[in-house]
Parts: sequence; C-alpha cells; structure tokens
Amino acid sequence: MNDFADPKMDEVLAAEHVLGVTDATERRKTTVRMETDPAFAMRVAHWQTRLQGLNGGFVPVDPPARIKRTLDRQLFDRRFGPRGWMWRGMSLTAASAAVGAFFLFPEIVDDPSATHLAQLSGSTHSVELELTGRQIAVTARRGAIPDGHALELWLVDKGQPVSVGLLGRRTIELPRRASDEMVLAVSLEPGGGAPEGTPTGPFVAEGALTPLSRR
Amino acid sequence: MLKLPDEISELIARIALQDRGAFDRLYATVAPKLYGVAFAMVEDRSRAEQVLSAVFTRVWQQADRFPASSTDPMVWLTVLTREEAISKLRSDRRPRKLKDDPHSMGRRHQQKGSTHHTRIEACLTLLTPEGSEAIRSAYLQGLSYAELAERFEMPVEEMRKRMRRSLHELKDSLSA
Repeated sequence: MNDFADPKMDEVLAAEHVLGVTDATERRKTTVRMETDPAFAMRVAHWQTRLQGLNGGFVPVDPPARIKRTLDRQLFDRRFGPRGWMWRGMSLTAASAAVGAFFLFPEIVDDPSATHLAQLSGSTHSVELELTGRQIAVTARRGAIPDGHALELWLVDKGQPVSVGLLGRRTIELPRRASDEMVLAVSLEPGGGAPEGTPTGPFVAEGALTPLSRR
Repeated sequence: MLKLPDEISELIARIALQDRGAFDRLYATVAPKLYGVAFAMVEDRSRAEQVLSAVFTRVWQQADRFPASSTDPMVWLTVLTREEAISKLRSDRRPRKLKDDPHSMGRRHQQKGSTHHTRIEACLTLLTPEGSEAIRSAYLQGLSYAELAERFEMPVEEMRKRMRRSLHELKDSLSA
C-alpha cells in the first residue's frame, strides 16, 4: 500500500494521528513524517484545529502540589544538597554523551508483583525502572553511553547521593525500603562505576519513585 | 479560564526568554486544565503526573516553538498534553481496564457537549451515533483502534474502516 502518494489517505493518516488511535509503530511513522513533510504537518495542524472544539469535554482537576516541586527541582535547581555537593546540570551532558551507540533496551517482561515505577529522564537519557520490594529491574533505557563508561544509579537522600549500583542487565537492590517520592538519579561514570562512592560524572537523568496503583 | 488567550501567549513568549516567574504563573493558570486532560486520558494518578511534568518540561524547553501569531495557546498546550498522554498509553505494556460502556459514555459526553457548544459538536451529530462516539472517546480518553474495536465489539480492521469513513464525513460537514 502506498500511503504516501494519496492525498485522501494522507488526510486520514493526519486525522488518525491527531486522534491518537494508531499503535506505537504507526504513530512513530506519522511523527517522522510531520518532521520531514511540511504538507503533511499542515494537514495534522488543520485536524488539531478542527477537533479543538472537543477540548471542552476535559474537566479541570487540581494537580497534586508535588508535581510543581519536582519540576522546579528538575528544571531549575543546580544545587541538590546542603553540603556543597553540586548538581552538575543535565545540559552539560549533551556534548559529552555525543559519542557511542544509541541504546534502546529490550524490554524485560513486566513483573506483575512490581510495587513501584520510576521514570528517570534528562535531555539526553531516560531510564525506566521497576521495583519489586527492593529489587530494581531496568525495563527501558535510552541514550548514548560512550565506550568505557557505564550508567550508575543513585538514591538521593537529603541532597546526598548514595550509590545503588550500575545499570546493566543484572538486577540491583535498593539499599533501603522504597518510599513514595524517593528521588533517584543516574550519572555517567567510568566503566567500573564511581570509584569513591560519590558521583564523578554528569547526571543524565533524574526522577521520583511512584507507587504502582493496581486495580 | 481566568486568563485571556493573549495573556497566556504573553506568558509563553516570556518563558521562551527563560523567565521563571512567567513559568510559575503559566503553571498556576493552566495546570488544572492540562492535568484534567492527562487524567481523563491515562486514568491513573501517577501516570497523569508524569504526563503533566513532561508537558511543562517541554513548555520550558520549547516555548520558542509556540507559533504565537495564529494559534490559541490553550489549543497548543492541549495538543502537547494529548501527545504526551497518547505516547504514554501506547508505550504502556499494561492493558488498561476500560470502565465505561459506549452507551453510558455517550450520555456523559453529550451532557458536557451541551454546555460547550461548538461547531464540531454540531457536525458530530450528523454522523452515526457510534461514529460520533468513537471519535469522542478516541479524542477524550485516548482509545486506540484495538480498544475501540473491543468497546464496539467488532474486528479492528472494521473499526478502522468505519472510523476513516466518519472522519471523511466529519471533514466534509465541517468545511460545508
């Protein structure tokens, strides 16, 4: 099927993209097309305008205050702790991480007993973790890792990073019981991990642990 | 909405210059609406929080991409929020439980629609009730073709065929 030559089909693909009904693979294709094909991007924009009248169906809900606190910390705080340990800022990593392969981890089978989820993200890297008790499994990972380097996971406690372990295919264990809103961060370190138990490389991703709600 | 579109556009323009005060004010003004969008779609508190936080991170980093002259800023912000919510839904490995059956859903949306009467609401009434309901639940709840097919009890390809027909009809009646 040649989707790309038929204006009528393009119209439908643009509408489907805006509605969001397609699966992840189809959506990736239309997203790429929006970036490379201005005419298609225009069709998408028109559908966004056409369907905006439905926005009244969304009812405002007050968000929990912690979202803004976490955002402020992620976007603006360069200093993470009171004892002079400097938050290096994730923007520094864009240049240093430009070498190396782009990684997308195969997803590990979802563990139905998982209790917490963490989505750690920065401008160049993101890591998804699942926690079962204190066992941490990496379920997805994105971003370049230069040769001879590794990603190290840290638990940030009162501004002080405590090493949890290197992110690899092996499961690692959280040094203490998980609590909601516990902050985790990932730094880029030499292959064997930070030698002194304090981070030496730039932080590339950060996020909070969130409890999984089970229905 | 407490602020006029122009004021929100002005805040976004200042965020593009990395004005943090403007960011705080924009958050205070639009976060409840956008959190409502995220929550309606992902139907889960912690994922709705992740969506909202991704949206505001994009706003801070990409405010300069806002096409100020022609676009209603709430439309742009809602597009960003729906995009984040949809990509979260589509990348999720846990199939979600859909709560509403199509009939109760229809009534609920019609009530809301009557208080927000727009051109598209009028045009949707020209479609078959199922066609209009499928478009609404895709837009407002982020249902995929697979989920719509389940809800309307038909094969996915049939759902896709009918949806495409409805979209054509909708476009024609909107431009009539």
